[in-house]
Amino acid sequence: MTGNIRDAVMPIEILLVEDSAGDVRLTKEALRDAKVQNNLHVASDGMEATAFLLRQGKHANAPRPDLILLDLNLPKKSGRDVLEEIKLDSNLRSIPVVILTTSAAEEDIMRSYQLHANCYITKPVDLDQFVKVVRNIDNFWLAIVKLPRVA
Amino acid sequence: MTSGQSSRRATSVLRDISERGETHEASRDSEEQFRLLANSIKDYAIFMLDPAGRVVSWNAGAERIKGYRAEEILNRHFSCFYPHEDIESGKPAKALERAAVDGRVEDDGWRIRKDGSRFWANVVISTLRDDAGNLLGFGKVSRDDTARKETREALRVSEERLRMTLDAAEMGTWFWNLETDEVSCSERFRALFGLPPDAKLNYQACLDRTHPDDKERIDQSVKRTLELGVPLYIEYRVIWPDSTVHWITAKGRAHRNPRGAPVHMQGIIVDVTERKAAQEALKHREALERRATELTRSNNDLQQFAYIAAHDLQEPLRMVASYTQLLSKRYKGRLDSDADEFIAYAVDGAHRMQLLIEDLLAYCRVGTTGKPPQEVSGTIALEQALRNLQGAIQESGGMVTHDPLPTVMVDGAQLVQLFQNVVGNALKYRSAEPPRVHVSAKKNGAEEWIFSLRDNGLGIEPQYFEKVFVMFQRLHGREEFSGTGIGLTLCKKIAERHGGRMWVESEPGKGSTFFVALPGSETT
Repeated sequence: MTGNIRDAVMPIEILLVEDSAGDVRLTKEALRDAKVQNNLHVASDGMEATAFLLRQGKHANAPRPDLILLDLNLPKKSGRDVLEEIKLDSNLRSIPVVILTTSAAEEDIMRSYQLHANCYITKPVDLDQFVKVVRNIDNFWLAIVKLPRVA
Repeated sequence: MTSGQSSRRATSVLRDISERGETHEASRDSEEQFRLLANSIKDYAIFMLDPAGRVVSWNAGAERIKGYRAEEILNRHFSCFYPHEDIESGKPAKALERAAVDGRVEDDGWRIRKDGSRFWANVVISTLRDDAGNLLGFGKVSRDDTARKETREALRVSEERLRMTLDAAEMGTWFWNLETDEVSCSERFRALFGLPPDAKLNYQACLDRTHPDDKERIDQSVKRTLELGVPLYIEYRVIWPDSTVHWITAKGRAHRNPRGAPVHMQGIIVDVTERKAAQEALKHREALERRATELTRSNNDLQQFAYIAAHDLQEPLRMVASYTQLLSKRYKGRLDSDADEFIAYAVDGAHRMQLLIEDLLAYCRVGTTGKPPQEVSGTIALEQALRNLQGAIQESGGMVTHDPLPTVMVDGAQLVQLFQNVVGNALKYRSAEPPRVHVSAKKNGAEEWIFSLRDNGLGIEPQYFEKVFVMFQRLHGREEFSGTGIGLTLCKKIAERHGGRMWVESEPGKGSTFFVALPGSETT
């Protein structure tokens, strides 16, 4: 963790785009005792995710997320559309996007990587596994990986 | 007798004939007229022979037909008109002998012209005798029949060709005289109608042979042909005396007199029973194919449905499972013992349901995500399965052996899955002995290999041989052995997906042998 460029005292901003309240809570539970101090923001559909990222409406003061956890099957605007928008936006595209979904379909995996998803993870069915995966994501992207400094 | 004498005598004979009964001048004139007549006739060769067969008179017709002038042929023997093969067989002499006996001989045959060419002649030789019955000579009248013979021959060839064609086409012919209502027909017509060869036929007799349901249609068609002149074309059934039904196609036309009234109808019939049967078979096959297509589609729909259902069930189930697990983790020992027990059951139930759904998805994927078959070494597939089972093999103290296994045409991943399931079962349903599994294969015919996986496990009662392959069928209690009961169903589906089969033979207490028939590769 000492290798990370971020100030260790500053909390990490995570945007979770997820419509299932149960999954939101599970993710929160999994991150509660994470090594890295974090602020978890939740967008419950694709439209809200875009608004958050572009700081529109009630999200005018939203922070720039350090990591995005994105579900694919979302109401209003799909996760694929959100992913495409992020990766086409020169300001946002350097934010790592982790696809976290129930789908194990080859087609979804392929399409996500073609849209430049940073990684694709199928939600483990087992609770312990799920917690482990979320913590690993957190640890890998926020503590191990070196990311560019953003103004 | 010299030739001069005979010539004179023959001439006098002719005179004698014409003089028979009459000696006056008028008859002399008539004789002269007759001679002129004979001489002027160009279409017939009329000449006379002396009793030895020498030519003694010659007319213009003879000159035209045979090519000799009178001075060239008189006194020559008439055998020069015959082809040499006839001369060798003595035909000319025999003709005269017969004429002498019978008084008259008629003959059709080849004759030779002066220039050596042949023509077909109709010849009548008449014997000439005097009043006392003494042979005076022969009168010979010949006609060049070559053209007529050619016409007859052409007609014969044409008829023969028609007969052969009708025969080859297995066509029967019929002719219906409308005035007498008489039907005459070929032998084949009778055979096709199942009629005796000699029976007299009329229209009704033919109609009586046809299927009751077709009679009215036939009648109407015939009527239309007679009234409107359209060609007859109809298919109907004929019932033979042995009650067999034969399909017939009949074609025909009506012929009319100059006033336009039909006088007769004629045509052909053909047996089309085989074609009809083939058409029926084709219809039947098409119906079967349609049903197969429908079944495949509905099967695919069902598979799709099962997959989607299983997949979508997974989502809420994940919530139930996750939160009951969370409850159990956070609150175990903090509520009362009832609560702990209830939570434990909920956790277990959710877990089992997860396994079921996972297996169901795996089963659905056999059909939906299977790869096209390719050459896969049975040995390599088995070894991969054994690596995947390493833990279970060690844990059970088991041993798996195998003969060299053939190459088969399969989806490799699925063959591994199949081996893994069957060997895994053998390790799981073991007897008191450490599990032993032996895998071998033998060729079955040219295109198939039968793998056998023999174990020394618990074995299966014969009444369950089929049931073990049925989805979610379990032979053991949950407490005894865990599992969803889908493993063998999946194996069977894998085998069947490759055009193979799977079955089991077993003796309870001794072990089971699972057989898997799979298509061989061309190189094995």
